[in-house]
Amino acid sequence: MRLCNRRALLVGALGVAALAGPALAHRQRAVLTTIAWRKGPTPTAPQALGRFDVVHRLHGHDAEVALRLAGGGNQPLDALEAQARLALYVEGRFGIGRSPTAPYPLATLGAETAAREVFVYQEAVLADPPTLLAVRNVIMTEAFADQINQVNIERPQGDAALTRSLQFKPGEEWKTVSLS
Amino acid sequence: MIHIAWRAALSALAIFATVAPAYADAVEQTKGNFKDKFRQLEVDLPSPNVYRTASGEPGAQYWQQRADYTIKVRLDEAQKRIIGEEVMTYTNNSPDTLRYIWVQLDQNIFDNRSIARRTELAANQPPGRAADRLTFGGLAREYALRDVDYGFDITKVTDARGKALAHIVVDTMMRIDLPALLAPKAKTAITIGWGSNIIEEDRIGGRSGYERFRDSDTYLYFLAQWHPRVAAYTDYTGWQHKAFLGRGEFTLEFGDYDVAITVPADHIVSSTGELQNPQDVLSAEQRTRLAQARDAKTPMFIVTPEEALANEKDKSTDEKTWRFVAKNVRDFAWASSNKFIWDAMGYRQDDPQTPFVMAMSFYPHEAEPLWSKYSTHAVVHTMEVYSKYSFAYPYPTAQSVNTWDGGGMEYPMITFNGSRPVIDKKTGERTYTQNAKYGLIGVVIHEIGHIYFPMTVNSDERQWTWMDEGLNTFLEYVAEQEWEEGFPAFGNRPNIMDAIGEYMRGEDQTPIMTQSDSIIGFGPNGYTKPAAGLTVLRETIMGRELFDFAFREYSRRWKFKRPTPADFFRTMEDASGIDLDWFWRGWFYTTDHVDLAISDVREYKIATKDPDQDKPAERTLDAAKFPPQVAEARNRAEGIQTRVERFPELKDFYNENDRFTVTNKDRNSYQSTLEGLDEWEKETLDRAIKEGQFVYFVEFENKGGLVMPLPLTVTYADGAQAKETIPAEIWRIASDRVTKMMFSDKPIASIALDADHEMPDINRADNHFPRRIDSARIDLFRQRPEIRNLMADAMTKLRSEEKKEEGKDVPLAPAPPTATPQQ
Repeated sequence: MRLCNRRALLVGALGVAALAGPALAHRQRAVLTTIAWRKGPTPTAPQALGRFDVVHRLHGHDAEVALRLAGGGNQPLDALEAQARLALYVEGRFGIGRSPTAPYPLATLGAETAAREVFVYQEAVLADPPTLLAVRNVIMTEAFADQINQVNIERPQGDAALTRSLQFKPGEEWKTVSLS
Repeated sequence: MIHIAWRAALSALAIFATVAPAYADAVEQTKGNFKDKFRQLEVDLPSPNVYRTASGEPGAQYWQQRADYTIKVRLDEAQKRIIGEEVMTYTNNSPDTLRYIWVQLDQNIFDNRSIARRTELAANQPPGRAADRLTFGGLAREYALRDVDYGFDITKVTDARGKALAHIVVDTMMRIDLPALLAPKAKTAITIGWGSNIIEEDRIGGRSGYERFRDSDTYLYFLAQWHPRVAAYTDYTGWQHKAFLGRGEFTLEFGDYDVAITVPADHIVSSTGELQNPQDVLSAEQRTRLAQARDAKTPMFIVTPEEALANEKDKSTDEKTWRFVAKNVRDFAWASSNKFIWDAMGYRQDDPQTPFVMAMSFYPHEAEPLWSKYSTHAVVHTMEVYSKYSFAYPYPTAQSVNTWDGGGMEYPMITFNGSRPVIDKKTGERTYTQNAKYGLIGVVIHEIGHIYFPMTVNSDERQWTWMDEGLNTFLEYVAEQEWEEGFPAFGNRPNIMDAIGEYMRGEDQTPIMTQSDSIIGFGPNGYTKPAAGLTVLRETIMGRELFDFAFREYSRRWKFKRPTPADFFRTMEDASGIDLDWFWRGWFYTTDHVDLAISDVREYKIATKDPDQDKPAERTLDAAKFPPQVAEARNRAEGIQTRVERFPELKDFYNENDRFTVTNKDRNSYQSTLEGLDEWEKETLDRAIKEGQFVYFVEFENKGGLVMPLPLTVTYADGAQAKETIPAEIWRIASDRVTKMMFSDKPIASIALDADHEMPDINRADNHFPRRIDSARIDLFRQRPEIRNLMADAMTKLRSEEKKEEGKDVPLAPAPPTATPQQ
């Protein structure tokens, strides 16, 4: 079987998702977000000692739906307005912080399309990397009951090959992960 | 539908993050660093026996049960209910004597007393008031499940003589106590009568039900898991009567079906099997068209869009009975509606058992113009491709029915598929997105592909999702690549390796070898990761010739039989002659990922040991390595004369000779060395000097854990390129770091590891030597201020256009205190 999309109104509770049927084949509804700690200034944050670079990757097909949710209609994803709308849509549905009640200021740099995918870029300037990170990712979760957003966080210290990851399904809000 | 079990508490995450478990197993010890990534699997696989051999074949005494059904069912459209009676003839081919049989009642999952219903979780993850949420969809679903009684109403269970049989319903299963012991090779016939209300699938969610088209108040019915079906009884797990929780699907017994389906007279029925009475249910014109479609080169209409539109306005109160017969199937499903457009195209194949297959699609006008263009073509394409890599399509019909807007579900000869066009709000015209187009082609290939796996190769999805979803997704990927180049198969990425890496890198995973209902990340785990693994095997590890032969052999061995994971693993090795235990162990039994690196390359030439040859060469190398000092050159430019230049008498032996000057002592030492060499050593040295080869010590690092081959692209100084793949066995002693010695006739300029993305390497920045600058995408974006500024202006403008978001959730308010009775 193969997972299906559902209308926004039918986004059910977690238990609903567990029971509800026609399920998945290969194309899972998913947004992949990578959060990487980087040292030093950037052209967009010349004074920064360090920052989290956040890159969201949306499938082009899903981005078309996100664009409609963001009020952008059916315009092509290559359009500047479409990309700006998507960036703002993601901005409203993603956050990181010391805790759910202490979010870090996230600057949205913008969005671009590449190889039929849409990338949205954000950065959060910090002096030092935290040991705990709270994350919220509800991108597209209002659209698809089978949406799963994966967030991979590259640990700011230690072996960079080790990555902490979180997954978000419809109905899930802030989660906290240790980066130590 | 994906459901992910979250770890119980966030504190558990912290523990995972900081505490590495210290335990010993056969693969990884508590002492030393040795990890036995190549440990043979035999110790972990079930022991071979007379039913399943060590080579992965059905054994000499392999058996499976058989269940034949004769069913009469009536669709009560007014009541949205089916009423049926079946005679199930059960043949006990096992060596065991049975006192009872178990029957699956999957519709009971929608009964409010089911385990699945009672264990549904609230939508507040992580738990806490802040996340408490109730959507309109969730609330409407609750009402739908409350308003109607769902599940099977069992009205009759009797033996062949009409004598009532004792039975008990246990959640989604029912045990029927047999009137007498059922001995090996004996048969018993049981009659079961039932009724069940049909769910509104769009509201409740499931694999079958009805769809209501509100605009026209018309309906489409698609019935699956709709009648009491005997559970599988196997040599490896006995009765497979694990309750249906919604995800782990099912495995059933093969048998023949004879089904009479009574529906409103204006309905068209699509069903497992072949229609037996077209003269009773089809017009003469429809029958003529059906005959013509057998030889059609493109799909042709049996029921045209215009006729379907007329039908759906008909609302007939008469009824017709459609009779279908299906041979050797493990299940039976059907769909019925007065909305159906019907197209068909014959498919001929080189197979004596099934030389002809009728490919057909059924869809409402809401699915047009997408479906008539692609659905049946995709059905035929699937059969063409899958048959090359497994076996000829085994049934006389292959059908694709549009039953929803997305997703798909498979049954023998019939599949329920999604993807529909949309109405453009501006123009009012019906159009379809790229998403819908490739979604439809992909889902049809996937679901028709399921008729091979698991409807014919009858693996047990209640236990192992990957055995049908993974194998099928792999062949689907092959079929999509043969549909069109660049097919956006995996989230718009044509290459599966670029799609699965990030999932494999993450922490929230279970091994592929996890029971279906316990999988975390159902889609990537059960579908994409196994498909990627098989692709690596085919394209990189085994090669197409050996892989295709072995995969076909597995398909042949287990066609119409019931394989287990061990049967697949063993057959792939048995038929190819390649030890793949390390691959199954890593890819299927662990959550390791692929992250390989070239950590160093060192270049050498064979030294002649003759000081008159070696020392001048060393001088040249030294000069290249340590260029003259800048200060000396500038001194010369400024006309500064050194003291030694001004007083030449200060020069001595050391000014005339350097450490590379050959001395007699060096020559004597060389002669002594030569005299100390054996004749074969001298010959070897002479040859090496003559050939003048370069020797490279290349260090590879395995950072991700999975041992994999090393596909190398070597670029030489003269621009020529060569490709070579080093087998994964290079990691058998040291699985984290190895050094490979490579000889070359000419100097190497660079080496790239997995340049063609044959594997899901999660970090390719360290796959090149010398290192490539691999700027992160976000850094490249930052370096383009003109784009950034345009984007910033656009976002500022949009932000100023404040828009109120439409609320999606049901408003919740704290409940007032319950009024207490007055004393």
